[in-house]
Amino acid sequence: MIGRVVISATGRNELTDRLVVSGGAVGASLAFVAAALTGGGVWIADGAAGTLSLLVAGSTLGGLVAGMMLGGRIGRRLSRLAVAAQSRTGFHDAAAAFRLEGEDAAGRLGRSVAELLDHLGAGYDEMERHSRDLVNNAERVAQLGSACRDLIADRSEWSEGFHAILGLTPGQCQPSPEVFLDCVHPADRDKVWELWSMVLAGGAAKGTDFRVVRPDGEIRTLYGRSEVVRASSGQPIRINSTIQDIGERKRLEDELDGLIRELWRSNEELEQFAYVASHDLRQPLRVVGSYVSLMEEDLQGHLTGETEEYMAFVRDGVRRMDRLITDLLTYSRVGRTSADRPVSIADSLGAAMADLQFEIEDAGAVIRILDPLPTVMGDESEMERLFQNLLGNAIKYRRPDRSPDIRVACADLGGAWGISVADNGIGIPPEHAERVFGIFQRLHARDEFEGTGVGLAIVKKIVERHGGSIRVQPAEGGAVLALTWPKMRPVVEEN
Amino acid sequence: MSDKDSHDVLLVEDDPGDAGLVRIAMRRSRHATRLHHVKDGVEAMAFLRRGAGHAQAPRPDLVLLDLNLPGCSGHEVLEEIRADSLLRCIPVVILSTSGAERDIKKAYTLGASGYVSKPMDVDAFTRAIHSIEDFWFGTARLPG
Repeated sequence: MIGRVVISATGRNELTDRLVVSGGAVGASLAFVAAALTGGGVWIADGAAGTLSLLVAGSTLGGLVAGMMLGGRIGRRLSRLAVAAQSRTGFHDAAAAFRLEGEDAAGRLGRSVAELLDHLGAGYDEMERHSRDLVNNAERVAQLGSACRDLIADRSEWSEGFHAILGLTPGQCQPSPEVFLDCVHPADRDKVWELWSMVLAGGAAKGTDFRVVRPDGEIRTLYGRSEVVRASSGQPIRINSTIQDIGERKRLEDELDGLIRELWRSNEELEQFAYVASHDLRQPLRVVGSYVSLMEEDLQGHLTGETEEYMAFVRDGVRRMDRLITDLLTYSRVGRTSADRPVSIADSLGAAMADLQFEIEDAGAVIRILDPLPTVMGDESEMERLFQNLLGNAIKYRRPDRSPDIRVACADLGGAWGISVADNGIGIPPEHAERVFGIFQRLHARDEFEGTGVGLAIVKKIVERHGGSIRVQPAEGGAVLALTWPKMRPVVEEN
Repeated sequence: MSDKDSHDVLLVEDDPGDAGLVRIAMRRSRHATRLHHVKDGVEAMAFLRRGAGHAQAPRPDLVLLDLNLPGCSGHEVLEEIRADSLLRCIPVVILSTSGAERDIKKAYTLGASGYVSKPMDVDAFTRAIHSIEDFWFGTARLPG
């Protein structure tokens, strides 16, 4: 764009013109290319302003020259000015040509033009430096290098960043596709060649990973991307490319892969542990328990009050140990075998109540459902266990003087459902509101309330696995456990 | 009712404690059974094929097979029994501590005749053994 403005002013052909302002053009086009390929827009505005000032500069110069040419008084000095105007040089050389001796009109005109040109030249240099700085800064920050290959002039321009990524110093080599391919790891050269062929054959910008060998022998992994600029005839006139050092990203990706593998391995191990716990730990326990019972049978009538008590301790220990193992197993299995699908909370609650039928009747518990209950995404058996544990606790931790009155409520919290189970039991002291969710955490002696201390830990794990949360709500005269459960995403019908 | 007075049961169980419980339960049963106990899969196959050390072994009417065995697993023993045309039709009931879904599924896939989880409590254990006997030696018809 810049080139064309100068052409119309001075009548130069397009190619040479571009050479005159090549510094600026390359700077600006590199900036544009880098911006287009990386999506960075920080300095596009600056580039536009630079372009604008060049436009103004070009038009001013053009006006002056044209005015002089058409002036009519063609003296020798003026014709020298005309020659100067036609010379294909930069601002500063042109200024020198206009700097005439003498105090006549031509001399003064020439010198003022020279002054103007110098001024424009300085502004241009400043802008060029500024745009180069912007490109270089942006590329350094983005660890990016850009290149521009002019297919018509058969010329390549590489940015500072491009050189830096390849480990080269600007000026010490003549940029060309051949020099670039020399830098590419021999095993990856076909890949790069293929990318260029594909881009030239048509279509959008394309990219690929490849390695380069730097002069010091260091191998780096890059991501390169190229696009072709075509004339209106469709003929390719330029290839714009960027390269980016993705070594760090690759390293992080590899690290992430390693972590994922490690996670899988540890999950496998956990599953193996759960299996071993269910089988190997319970087997000897069953043998102990069974033979104690058999001994007790055989010794019937021979046991004293004391030995009978010992036997009871053994039996109780075995039973508790078995429950601990089973509960621990249940806890470790949450989320491992689950299959999430729409689950009606009302159904889960109903199933839990059916399982607890004996306890409910025994305690004379009343369970009231205060609000309509929604359908959510979850695992059916986990959901059932959740309510089994919550209702079970509400029944178990009742006051001796009143039968349990349990209220299940549901509120719409926007993105989630708020479900609460409130009872009129012994309550949970606020200082233990966190502790109750810990595994094997118990607030009461075993002879007061039986349990392993895993129930609420399981509830918490189930809720959190589904993206919800649970807490003990401060309440008078009982305990309120309030949980949130994410709402079901609307199902998009597929045809 | 089965036409035999007494039945031969092969118990494949490495844990002497568990084997003892099965023995006690069978002793208290109303069915007359002869219990043959082997401790691993290799010995089980030797018994079934009347190999070394088991030349006089009777053909069992029922195999009670534990899954967690030293050397080859119960699943492997089951697979081998089902692959042997002479042994294929012997009922094999898995008797295991494991209640893991994958173990149960695998056992039935490999052709188990039943899967019983060993109960923790001795009375329940005895009842489980008795109900196995009742079904196989009472209700079911066995191959001759």
